[in-house]
Amino acid sequence: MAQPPVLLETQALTRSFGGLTAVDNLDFVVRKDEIVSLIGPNGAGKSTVFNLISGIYPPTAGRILFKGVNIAGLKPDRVERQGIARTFQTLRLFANMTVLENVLVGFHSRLKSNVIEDLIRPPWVARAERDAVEEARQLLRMLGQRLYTQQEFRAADLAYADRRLLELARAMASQPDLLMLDEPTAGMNPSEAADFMELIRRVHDRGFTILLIEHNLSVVMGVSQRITVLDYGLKISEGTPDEVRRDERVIEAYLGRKAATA
Amino acid sequence: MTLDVLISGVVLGSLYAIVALGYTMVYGIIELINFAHGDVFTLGAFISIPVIQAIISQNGSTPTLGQSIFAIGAAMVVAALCCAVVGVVIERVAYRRLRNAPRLAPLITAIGVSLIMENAMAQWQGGLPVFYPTALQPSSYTILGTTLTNTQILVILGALAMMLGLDMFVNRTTIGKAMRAVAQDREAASMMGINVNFIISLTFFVGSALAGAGAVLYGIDLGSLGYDSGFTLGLFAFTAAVLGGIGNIRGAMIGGLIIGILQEYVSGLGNGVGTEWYDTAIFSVLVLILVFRPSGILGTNTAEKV
Repeated sequence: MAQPPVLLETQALTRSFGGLTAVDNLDFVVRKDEIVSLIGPNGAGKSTVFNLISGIYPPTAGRILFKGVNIAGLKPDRVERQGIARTFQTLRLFANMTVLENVLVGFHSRLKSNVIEDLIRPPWVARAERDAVEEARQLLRMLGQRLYTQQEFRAADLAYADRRLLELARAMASQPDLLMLDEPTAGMNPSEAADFMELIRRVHDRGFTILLIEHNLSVVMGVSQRITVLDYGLKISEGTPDEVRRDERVIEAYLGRKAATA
Repeated sequence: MTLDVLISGVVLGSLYAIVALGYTMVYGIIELINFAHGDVFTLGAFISIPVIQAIISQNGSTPTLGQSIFAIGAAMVVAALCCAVVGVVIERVAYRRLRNAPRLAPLITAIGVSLIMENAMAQWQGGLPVFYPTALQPSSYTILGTTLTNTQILVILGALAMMLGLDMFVNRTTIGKAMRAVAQDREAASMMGINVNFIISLTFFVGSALAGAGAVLYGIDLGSLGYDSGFTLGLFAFTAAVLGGIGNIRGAMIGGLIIGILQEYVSGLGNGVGTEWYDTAIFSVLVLILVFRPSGILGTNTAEKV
């Protein structure tokens, strides 16, 4: 069976901060329609990889190919317009805007009106905005009735798990080719985390390719098709969940450290 | 307080509110007190003078209402566009490269730009106040036992239209939502595909355009201005922005009105002695607000930024 096409590929991706090499010569691949997880202990460099891909800072060396084009060093808004959206480990919602408005900001790159059209609001702009509102509502409904009924709430007033959901909705709004989720279950209890993973599976079924960062190995076991394991910025293992679970280096990186700090 | 004082306070306060919007929008988006903003305002007033002179002859003949409306409208558009461009250029040249520098650095360049503009305008227009051309034949109406001049009505309606327009722009349109998103979290907004530099330029464009248009109303209302008129007015408007909650657009409108009414009220005290004391009163408000409620009337006390 032919493999689906490569969507994202990093080649020798490296980022140093002063003397610290946070990401070291990383090669990994995400294929279309996959759920791939990037896991590793705290400080392994997972979030740095996300920040490099999304353009928060440029790599020290290496390339990031997205749909065959090198996007390394592009500004975040350009990266987003290539079709990559993300969430944040520490929630970064627009706290003073409503739930619905947060999702609508996610539509920004799809609403093609310019400033002049925005002011004059010709019929096609008004219609595009109405459609966006309708689509945003459907998105909220798909992610849960609670979020849907709270669409006029300020984002800051939502319960924690709902804010996580809202970040997901906002990232999905641009219909990205690649959805990057940075520890989406951080701060959730095990049952909330399990529910959230089930939701991610449903999002995937809707045609989203997903790259997931997780600190907790067991959370991603069930949903990931492939897993890349980082430790101290280096890739130490890669493969299916079963392969990774049995890999001695992974066990050592996790358990060895856990045993030492316990 | 008599109704007269209240009305003249609202008129003055509307002008402060328009200028305060520029301070508060820029602060909201890049956390910079744009000290050059008051001077952009002055520039708008000077630029509008020849526009009015070109449409209405200043030889004592009475302009028709149509001429007045056309002259005022044209002056506001020209002043708004010129100020908008100047505002965008100031940001590009003096602030953008310092966006990630310590906050004191852009504050110093802002003061520098302000001094450059004031001295250039002093060279251009001279150090003495100049008369603002007559654009409107003065007339007045008696409503509810008080007298309203057509200039007062013009200022209030003009300012109201600008404030409503801005409020709708920021809250209803897609680009307005993008502006608020950038103000709240620049990095997250950029990851929603929003071009942050463009939004910041647009903020300067809109804020400076309001100052330019407002400057025409100011000129018509006060009848004269000097190269440093905008500096003093800018300080009052800045106080208004702080009073309302710096960064908060509706706060700037409310703050402007309160400062305007306060100024007219204090001016009316003690048979005219008050006119020597209103600066003191207004800047006392600034100090008291900063010390006791730095978030202002509408601002929240919780830190928004991570």
